[in-house]
Amino acid sequence: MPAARADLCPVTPPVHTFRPVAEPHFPSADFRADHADADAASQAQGPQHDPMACAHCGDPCTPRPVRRNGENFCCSGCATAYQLIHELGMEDFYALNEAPGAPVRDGGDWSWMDEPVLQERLIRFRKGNRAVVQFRLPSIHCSSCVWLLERMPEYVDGVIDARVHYGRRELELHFDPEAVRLSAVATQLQRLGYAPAINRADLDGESEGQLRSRARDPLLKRLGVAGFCAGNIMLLSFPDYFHWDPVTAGPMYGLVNVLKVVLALPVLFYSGSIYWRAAWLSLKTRVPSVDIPIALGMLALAVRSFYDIVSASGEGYLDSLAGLVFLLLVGRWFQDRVHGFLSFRRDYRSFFPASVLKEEGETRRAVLPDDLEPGDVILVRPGEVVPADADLLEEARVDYHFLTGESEPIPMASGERCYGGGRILGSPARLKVAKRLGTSYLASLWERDALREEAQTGSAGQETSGPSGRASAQPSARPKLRQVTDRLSRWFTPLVVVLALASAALWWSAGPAKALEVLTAVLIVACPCGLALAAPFALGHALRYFDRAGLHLRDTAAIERLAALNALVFDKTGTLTAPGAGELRCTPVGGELSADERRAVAAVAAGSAHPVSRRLAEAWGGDLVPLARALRETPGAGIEGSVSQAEDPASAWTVRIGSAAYCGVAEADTQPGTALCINGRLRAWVHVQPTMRPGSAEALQALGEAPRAGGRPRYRMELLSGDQDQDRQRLEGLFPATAELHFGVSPHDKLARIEALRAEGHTVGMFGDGLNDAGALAASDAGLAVADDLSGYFPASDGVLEASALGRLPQLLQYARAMRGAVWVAIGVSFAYNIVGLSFAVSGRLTPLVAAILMPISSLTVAGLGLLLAALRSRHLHKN
Amino acid sequence: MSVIVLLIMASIAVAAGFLGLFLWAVKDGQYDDDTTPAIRILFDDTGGDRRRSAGRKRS
Repeated sequence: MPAARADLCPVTPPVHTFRPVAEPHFPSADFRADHADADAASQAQGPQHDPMACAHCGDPCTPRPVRRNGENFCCSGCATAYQLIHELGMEDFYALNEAPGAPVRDGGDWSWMDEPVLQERLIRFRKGNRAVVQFRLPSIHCSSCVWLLERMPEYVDGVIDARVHYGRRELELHFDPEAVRLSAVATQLQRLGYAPAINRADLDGESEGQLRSRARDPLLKRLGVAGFCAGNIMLLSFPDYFHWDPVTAGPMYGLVNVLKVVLALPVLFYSGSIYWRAAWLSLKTRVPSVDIPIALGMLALAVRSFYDIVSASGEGYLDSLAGLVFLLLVGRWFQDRVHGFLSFRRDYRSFFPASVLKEEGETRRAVLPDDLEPGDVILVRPGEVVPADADLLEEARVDYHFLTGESEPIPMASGERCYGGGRILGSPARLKVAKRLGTSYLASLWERDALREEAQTGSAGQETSGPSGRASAQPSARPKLRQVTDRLSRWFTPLVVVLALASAALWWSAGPAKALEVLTAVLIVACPCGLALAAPFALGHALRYFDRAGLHLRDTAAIERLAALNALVFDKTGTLTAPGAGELRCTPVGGELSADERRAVAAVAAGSAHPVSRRLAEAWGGDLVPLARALRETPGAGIEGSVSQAEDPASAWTVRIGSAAYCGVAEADTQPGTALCINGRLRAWVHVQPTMRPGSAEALQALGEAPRAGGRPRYRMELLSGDQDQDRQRLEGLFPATAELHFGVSPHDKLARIEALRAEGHTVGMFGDGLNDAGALAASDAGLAVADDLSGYFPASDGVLEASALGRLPQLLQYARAMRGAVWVAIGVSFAYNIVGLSFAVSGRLTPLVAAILMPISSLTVAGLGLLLAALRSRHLHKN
Repeated sequence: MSVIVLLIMASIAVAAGFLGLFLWAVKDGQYDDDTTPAIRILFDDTGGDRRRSAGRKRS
């Protein structure tokens, strides 16, 4: 098994096919338990009792199973895990679910965890001989995993307690640092198939999931208090609803009113405090929001009720006040999803390793990447990320796909500068650090985006002209689209205030007391409870349908922004094409290549680390590769070697693989790709064509079409690729004719292009996958990260689109538009209620009873309508 | 009439008790994880005293 699945090292290819790399799949990391359809898919992958399915993880055993103890396994890691679990007496693990294991990834050196400085960062809590760490284990996927992991105290000495948080794929481990080394625990986890995922950001405190959970607690408490108070106030208000006579009730009347006031205070000052604060912030920053009319309504309700009760002129509207706050909080709670292990605010630290091996004389020591100084020599193992800009001390292959968008790993010579963020492939590499972590190329890209986000949230509405130039930290061309409800309140709030004052003026003749009564009545009834609930319920429910369809959005505001898009910009590598995977395209010159010729080419290609050579060697090599002699590689040009023939050892073929110039091809005959020459004769041109993700071609076509025949297409489409344009022809066929395709675009240029589009007035959606898209994703109106593996790295974004759902993109965007319509419908209904209520208020007949009936009914209808529409419209997701 | 006062007080006291219980549960982190307990309950606990709930302090 190759070092790690994440670097997509090819598995042994079937002989004589042009498809050397198997489609990557991540059976362990998808949402098996969360989504019924994913569940079905994984079962289809490993049907029950399939003799060719791995007994440990259920993956198909290709190309040939590892046999041990009479069972088939997909790899030796799984076989070892299976044996280990039996040795530990944990065989019930396999009884709970069919092939419940997680595929065992190779390698990983956890000894850095024992380095005191680093361990201190990992430990969350320590008391006496009990220390607590929290590991993210992305391969947790079923109930068997929970069972096995929570039994760790039984089979790992020194582990006191183990608790799984399934939603966040986390394991909380209580252990005794005296009795067991943390690295030993991690090694055991890895051998069982649950390698901890730890990156640099994990050492800086709590995960986003933990923070989100924590942020939810105060809301739950506010909700509980509001519910308690609202229920009791309503109970105490029942006599009022049946026209209780204050005279006959006597002192009881006073007592009930005092109780109601006492119960209303926590609602007003604890549960409702978020609305006071939000309204104040909104006033201060002069950004209209729905919180202002809500706070106004709450204020009117409270003042009027207290006045009524103190002056003994009525019973007040405290039941409506408490009910209002309660329902608003329910809406907030409903909308506020906890996304478990998904993280939407990643910066470059999440992409960096938690530790790096630094050479100190003869020994190596694990240190924090932040502590690296220029001149330090570090060792980076295959699959690991180079933490800071550094110079290579030996040859290496570096995968820059996340950093620059280039699809092919680059072979680099000793002495070349390797940028922080590049991933070392193949064999370990020693590097000499050139820059500190914070000043590396990658970090500089990030600093700029961080600046941008600050500028945007700090000064919404600020206008700057035109696209910004390279590497200048200007705020975005215009602020992102605000939510419908907030935009509505821009005219709603003044309208309500004017209406209230006008009605009060009309009633002035009936006395100031009556005028004041009408004034507050209008403010009360206009309080946009329905308006504030329409979006949370409709869109909050829609989030769940999006999740199920493979699009995980950060919040409900992202749905509204998706609905408003009129320009779509795509990255190529990793977004439209699968990274690492590719087909070898061969254009023979002068007849097909014979099997002998192919083998000869493969033999020479095997001597080079160049990606095309590697593909050639894999695809054409087969089992019997003849030996190539006199291999000579000219870096940047090609490789030459001679291969003797089996039937006639005396005759040898000279094979040259390389650029047209290297092979001596005349300029007129040159075609794109790498030339293959045998005995000085040009035989073929080859190039590696990245595999398109399934469904992406259809999706692009559907998105490029006009919604109606003869109409204008809905979207302006564009491609921004960091790659060179060898793929241009194919992509031109997939994009509509009007689309612009840009190749060789740097991360900064991508960002600038998005800004230019926005400055032209487009609402831009960006689809990307790597760090090179991070700036563009942040600058766009709606940035979606495309990810194969939800537990892997993806840049900060408004949402994560599972790569397998890319083909559903037209339907997803259509659903977003449908939901925007649904919000308008719900808002319309809430306005209808408001108009009925206002007619009561303006005519001075808004009794507490009318308010108590009207407000909950309007809120519940609007909420129910939102849920219903979200469910009904979700059929868009399955159409076609 | 005074019996109503008593009843109101009793009912609010009981409700306040439940509110207190709810607030405690939130603070204890019981709403933190809504999937794992549902999975955990499926296992036949043969380990006996294994399940220790002590020390679940949130730092």
